[in-house]
Amino acid sequence: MVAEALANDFKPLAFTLFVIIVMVTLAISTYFSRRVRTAGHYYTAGGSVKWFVNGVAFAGDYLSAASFLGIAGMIAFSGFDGFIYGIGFLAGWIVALFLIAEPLRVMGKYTFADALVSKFKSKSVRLAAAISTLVVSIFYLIPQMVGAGTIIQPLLGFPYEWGVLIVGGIVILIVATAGMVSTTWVQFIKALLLFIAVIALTIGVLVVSGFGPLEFIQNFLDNGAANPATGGLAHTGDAFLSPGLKFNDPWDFASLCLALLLGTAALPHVLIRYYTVPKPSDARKSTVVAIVLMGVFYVLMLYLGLGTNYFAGQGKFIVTDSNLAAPTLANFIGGELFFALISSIAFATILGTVSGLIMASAGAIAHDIYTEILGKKKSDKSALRVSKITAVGVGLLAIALGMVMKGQNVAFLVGLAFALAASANIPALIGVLFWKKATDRGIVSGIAVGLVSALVLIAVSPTYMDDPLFPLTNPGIVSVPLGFAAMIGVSLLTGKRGE
Amino acid sequence: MEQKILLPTDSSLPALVATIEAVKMAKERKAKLIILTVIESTPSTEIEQQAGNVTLKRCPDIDGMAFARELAKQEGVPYDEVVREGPVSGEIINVSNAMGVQTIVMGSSAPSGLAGLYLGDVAKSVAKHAKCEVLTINPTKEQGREALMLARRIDGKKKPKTVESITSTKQFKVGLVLFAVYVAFYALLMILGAFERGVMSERLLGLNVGLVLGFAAIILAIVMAVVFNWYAIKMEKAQEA
Repeated sequence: MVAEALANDFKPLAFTLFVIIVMVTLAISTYFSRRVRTAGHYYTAGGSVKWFVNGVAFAGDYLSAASFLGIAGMIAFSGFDGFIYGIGFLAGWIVALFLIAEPLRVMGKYTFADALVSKFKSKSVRLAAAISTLVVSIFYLIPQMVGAGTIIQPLLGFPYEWGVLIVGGIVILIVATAGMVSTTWVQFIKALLLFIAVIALTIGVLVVSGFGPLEFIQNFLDNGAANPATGGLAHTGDAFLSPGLKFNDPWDFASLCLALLLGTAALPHVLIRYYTVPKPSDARKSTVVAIVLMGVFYVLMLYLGLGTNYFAGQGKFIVTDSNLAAPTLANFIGGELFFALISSIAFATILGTVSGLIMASAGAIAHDIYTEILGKKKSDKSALRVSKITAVGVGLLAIALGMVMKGQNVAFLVGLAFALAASANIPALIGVLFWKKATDRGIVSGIAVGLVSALVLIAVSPTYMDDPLFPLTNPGIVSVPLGFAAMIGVSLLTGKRGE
Repeated sequence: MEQKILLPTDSSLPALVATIEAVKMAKERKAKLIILTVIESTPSTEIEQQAGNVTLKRCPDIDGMAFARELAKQEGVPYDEVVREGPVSGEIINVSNAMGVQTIVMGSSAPSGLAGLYLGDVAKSVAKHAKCEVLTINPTKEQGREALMLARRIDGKKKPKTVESITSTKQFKVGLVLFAVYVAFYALLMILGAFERGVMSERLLGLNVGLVLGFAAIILAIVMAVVFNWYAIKMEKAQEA
């Protein structure tokens, strides 16, 4: 038997299952949100539902195409350097839990900018925060679109561009009818589906390989790892399961770790979830639920990535696109039905994350710029219309960018978005929350310097230049300190002058 | 037996009109007014809230509870305030049963179309399930405008919490210490992974140092989160008591 990659043909079974999953998700979320308002009896366990649901929805928002498709692929191809993404993605939530969640809920009403402005009644702070929200959201949207385009090919047999168009189109539709479909419930259901699928796939890997959980990893250490693209033995176990395969430059590894740690708590679509619960303590409880779920999830992802490598090494299949590691593995373990299930859930995952991101960026423009800065809000109706128009605009931009960025590993692209979020937003958040001497100009400078330096360093990095001016693929280790330096320096200068 | 009238209110236009009616009725019947607000349990984003506000004719700049309280004070009607969280209709019926009210007075927004399908009609649901008299009010435009004008004049909004009310608590400081511990551990992982790769590939516990540290970072995050939450809930309960 010759090992084969996934075929890109139309699969009626997969298509049917995909349509069913999307429809059922929408139907259940409509049913739940209606029940919560109009059920005649007290059917839920008191107030606990909102933080539990929100916590699972947090995980649903966060476990995007990057977590699922990207990390599995990165582990399959680069071993430990893929695993560090999972560790770092989770570590970021510790920052959110201990530093950001509860204070942010107290300060903000709707957007990241609200929180910053609660201390400084400054239009320039609001503008800087709104721009940063927009830029980070767009950067985070790109990998989601790439993931959609990638998965649509083997799932439905459509070309890459169709996947990007379908996701963009559906999300624009969802947001345009926002309020009709609660994204919280959609994320909740999607996260549960994703969990069930990943647990089943992990069990499948262990059962089919015949190893125990620990044995399975030890087998790699003893016998080495394959190159999933060819199936041939490529690395010693020691090289594969310790750092350095993808991030050869030590500073690149450190930079990624820093960006992942600080990026999560600065992502606009994560931040807006904190404004959706009524109380600060709910924000904390939701975060805890999310941390527990995601911790388990990232351990399971290690098995999916290694499982892909293992079976590719056995000559069962090859993986030509690293983003397709998990779907290819599912196809081998459970046949076309399981493959269709996993891919449909991945696609639904992307839909959920993209709609969350678009809501965050539309909120930034409509609420911060239109209502607050320009002072143009006449009624909720007009604000809602502006939100929706903005959402459609951002959606179209995301479609265009998704087409341009074809072929990149989505986890890698997400790493860049994290660096951007960390550099632009973390200095401002820390300044507002914990430093009495921070001034409005300091905050604006921190956001501007962090954002611009991260963008410039990405543009001149090895990813986008053959002869790079900056040696690291991830800018975090330089741009985050620059953001902090600007925030602190300008605050000290302007603070003294003000006295 | 004391007469009781339950007024479930948010800041919607129909609820404001219902507030005026309920206060009037309570004054006539010499009844006690029970003002209830149910905080909804489905988390929602700004766009979703805006859409809900438009559909249900809510006025977010008005505090429905404060309006009812001030109006009752003005008219010399005795009142109680109740705040609940959870399923809206279910909580309204729960409170009406628990407090033994004779009449529920509430506004109906009667949402229609897709939004109606999605949000459902709370007044209808309450009327169907309640064990007492239910008066639903579907106001005319004119009534709505008058109620809004009256509500704008009466403003009894409470001040929001400050950031210091969170960051100065003991539990937040405990969180900072836990945070420092975690960051130190993560930094160790990061520095070894970047600059001491030989150490990371040393065998340990049947795996290698890198994998053991990686698993430990995940487990530590889960344990810290759960323990901190348990502690914070305990502190919050102690504070309430």
